[in-house]
Amino acid sequence: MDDAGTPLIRVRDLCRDYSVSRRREGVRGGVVDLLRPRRETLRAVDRVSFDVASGEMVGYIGANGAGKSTTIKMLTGILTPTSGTVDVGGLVPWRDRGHYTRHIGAVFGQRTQLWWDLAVVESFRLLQKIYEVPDADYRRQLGRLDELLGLGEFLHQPVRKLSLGQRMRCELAAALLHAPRLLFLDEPTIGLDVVAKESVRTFLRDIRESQGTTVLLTTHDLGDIQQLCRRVIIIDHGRVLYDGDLEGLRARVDDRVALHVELREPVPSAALAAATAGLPVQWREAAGLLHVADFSRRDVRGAEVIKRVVNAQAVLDLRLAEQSIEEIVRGIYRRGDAGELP
Amino acid sequence: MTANLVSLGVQLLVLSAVFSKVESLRGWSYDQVLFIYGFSLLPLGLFNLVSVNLYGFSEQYIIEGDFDRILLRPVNPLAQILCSSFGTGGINELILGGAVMAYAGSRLGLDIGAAGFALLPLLAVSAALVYTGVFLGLTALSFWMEDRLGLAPPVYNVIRFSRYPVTIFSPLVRLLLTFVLPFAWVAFYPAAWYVGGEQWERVALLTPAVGGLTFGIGYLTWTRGVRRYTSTGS
Amino acid sequence: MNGAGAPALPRWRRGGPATVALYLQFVRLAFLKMLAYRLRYYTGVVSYTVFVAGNYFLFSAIYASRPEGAEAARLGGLTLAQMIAYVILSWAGRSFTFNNIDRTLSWQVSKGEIAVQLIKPLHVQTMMLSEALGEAAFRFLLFTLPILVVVVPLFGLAPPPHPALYGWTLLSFLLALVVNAQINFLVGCLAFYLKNVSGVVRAKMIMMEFLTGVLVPFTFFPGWVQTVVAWLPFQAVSYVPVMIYLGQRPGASLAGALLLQAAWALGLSVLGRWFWNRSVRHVTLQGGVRWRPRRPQGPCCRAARAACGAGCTSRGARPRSSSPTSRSSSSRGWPTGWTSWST
Repeated sequence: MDDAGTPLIRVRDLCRDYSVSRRREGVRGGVVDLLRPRRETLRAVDRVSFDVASGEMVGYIGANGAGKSTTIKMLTGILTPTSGTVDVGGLVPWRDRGHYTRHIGAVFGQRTQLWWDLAVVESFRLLQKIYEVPDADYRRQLGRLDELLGLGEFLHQPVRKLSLGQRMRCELAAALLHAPRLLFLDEPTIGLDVVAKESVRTFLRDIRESQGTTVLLTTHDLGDIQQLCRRVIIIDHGRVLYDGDLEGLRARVDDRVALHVELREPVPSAALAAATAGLPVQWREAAGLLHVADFSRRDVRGAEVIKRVVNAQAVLDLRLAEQSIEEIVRGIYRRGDAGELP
Repeated sequence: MTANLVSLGVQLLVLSAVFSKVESLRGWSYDQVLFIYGFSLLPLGLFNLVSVNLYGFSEQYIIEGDFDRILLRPVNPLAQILCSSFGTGGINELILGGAVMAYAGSRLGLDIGAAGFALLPLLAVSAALVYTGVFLGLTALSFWMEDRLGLAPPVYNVIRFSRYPVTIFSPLVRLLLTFVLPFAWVAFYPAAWYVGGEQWERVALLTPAVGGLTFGIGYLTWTRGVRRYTSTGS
Repeated sequence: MNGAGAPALPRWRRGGPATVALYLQFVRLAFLKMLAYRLRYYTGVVSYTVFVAGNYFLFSAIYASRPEGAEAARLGGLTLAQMIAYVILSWAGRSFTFNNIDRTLSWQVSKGEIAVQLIKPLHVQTMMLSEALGEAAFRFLLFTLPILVVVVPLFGLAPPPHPALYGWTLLSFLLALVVNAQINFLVGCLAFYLKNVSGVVRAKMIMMEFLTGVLVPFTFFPGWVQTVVAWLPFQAVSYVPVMIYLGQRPGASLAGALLLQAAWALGLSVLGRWFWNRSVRHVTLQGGVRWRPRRPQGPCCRAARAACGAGCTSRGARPRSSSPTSRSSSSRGWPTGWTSWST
């Protein structure tokens, strides 16, 4: 499926069930719950399989509760799957945690791995010791990270005094000080302003190119994915809905486009509809001289619609509006079932 | 509830250990001391119902800036803050306090009479006002000093010892607990009337006045703090 | 494509000297961390002085009330001067051995912060013990010594029967510190199993004052109580070192007392190690490591999701308390209320 070489991460038929207690309603229900709790098994991750090649940057997206975090937990070794296998460079994350954690770095958008009350640089020195980074490597890596992230100005401030953007830059540096082979990012741009977001993205691009770090990224911000990942895995209700490049999504879904047509003089919609008769196109009048034709690219080519309209009417201007990737993905979440995808 | 029960259990063990070595503590018997201890839980419970909002006030309202939101509403700021949540542990203390008083009272063969019974809530509320006044004043200091000075914990620790009859302490300590940090009024003075006889009646009946006064001083400090806050806007 | 050429991640083990260097770093950092918040601790000295003074007055009253002609003016085997020394040393000792491992650990587990530790090549138990040592160094310098400077001239501390006992007492308190840290670690681990652990932590703190002998010497209690506490580890936290100072453990009994403490320190460390491993296994099997601060879940949330498409969860409206930037407390843990338990 991917042109990249041998996989670093190999996930096969990964499943994870949770046992949750279901509350009954009302006072009586509450009493019954105490005596005989109703347990229910919920499958959070359902037969997920994928490979990630060394050096790849993969976006892992899905709605809340889709199973993203559960997968990341299993890949970082803090959750044991119900069934299925994960092999990362010959190690099983949850079984070989002691060995495995040496090779991974992680940033969880809402958790800090820095020591709250200490100067940033103190946390870094501690991480150096935790991951046994030789002094020379540490200095080189810190220098590189400082160059890319501009840490110098607040390296000696306590973490609690940093702004969210500054802290996120420090978190990224902290996760990469030991030059891990694998980097897990859970919503790395959450809560950041546009400028800070951009600098985080630039940094991640640089780091992948310069260090060959394999990155797995979950996010709600598709901008992250569009700018960073050639490959995206969409998960919903625990299942992989899509695994491939982002543009490939268009081809796979019902890709709706809207043709905005501005006419020279007023014409009834019926006239336009007559022009495209026989094609699966819906016309609506937007405002005055502006009309919009909705159709699916799967059914009809844009050029065909344009040709017919231009031939039939005096057209002042034309604009073909594609759905944004965000709208496409939202559509996928909304349908939420692999069955509806070709 | 667990923590309240454990606290009570430990206190009972300590008392019984002490009274296994001495018959009485400067004239106060085990049951009398126990009754006073039980009473002390009533105002403490009442205070704990509302005080959860004062603890951490500086952090939540001043540093995080929630106080601005409070000032926007046309309701007394203090009322808003005290009622924003309730420490339900306080209810446990009320129940346990009542139980301990009933137990000690029955062992003493105490008959507090209708008047004594009727006055009990008044005395408990007055005593709770003493607590609230003291800690309100301490909390209000955070209007002047951004970070909590941490004066409240040492003051709170004094409570532990003010549950004993203050007459067992030296005159200086008695003076301090009566007039400076009036914790003698949160348990001993009002409760002594029930178990110590008529001689304590006058003092006990002063409790509402002391409660009002302490709360007044605390509230005055508070309003000054609020005024300072609104004028400097910091 | 499965295969032979897969890039392997090497297995890895930290060497002895590197381990020592790492955990010494934790000791150092814990000390620095406390130092950063030293302003908050000035009143801790006042707090402990209140405890000593209160107990001084209380025990003075108790001794004054003892029955006429009681044997040699002792209660529970102690003279008033010894009792005052007991009070001073108990509280001064507590100011040294105390730490918040249980609060911090249980809070980290309940809030899911522990995930950050679990994905690092770290031994959490050793890390927490190291931090306790660093904290203790701070406490000794900024708590215990100032407290003694204030309290000893005020109430008078009788010297031990033999000067060498100063040294043994100090050693004994060091062991007490380790025992206490291990007890706290075990209690903190309970958070892996209990939903509502903050009440347990609070109850434990109250209970410790009694079970360690800080509140009242065990000799005040009937024989069976003394037998029970003799079998528990808690006496090693305070009662044993104080009794060593008072010369109540002479000769062979002194060595025995120190050995007992050492045995508890070791035994509890082993137990803690076992319990930690078991807890981590439990949590990775049950999936209990919380990843994010809990957001409201339920029908209304599902409805909202359906209405706006799941991509548009508004993150701007997160409650303040869950945002990491808003935490400004030094020792992150359950709120303690008005008490100074946390110091």
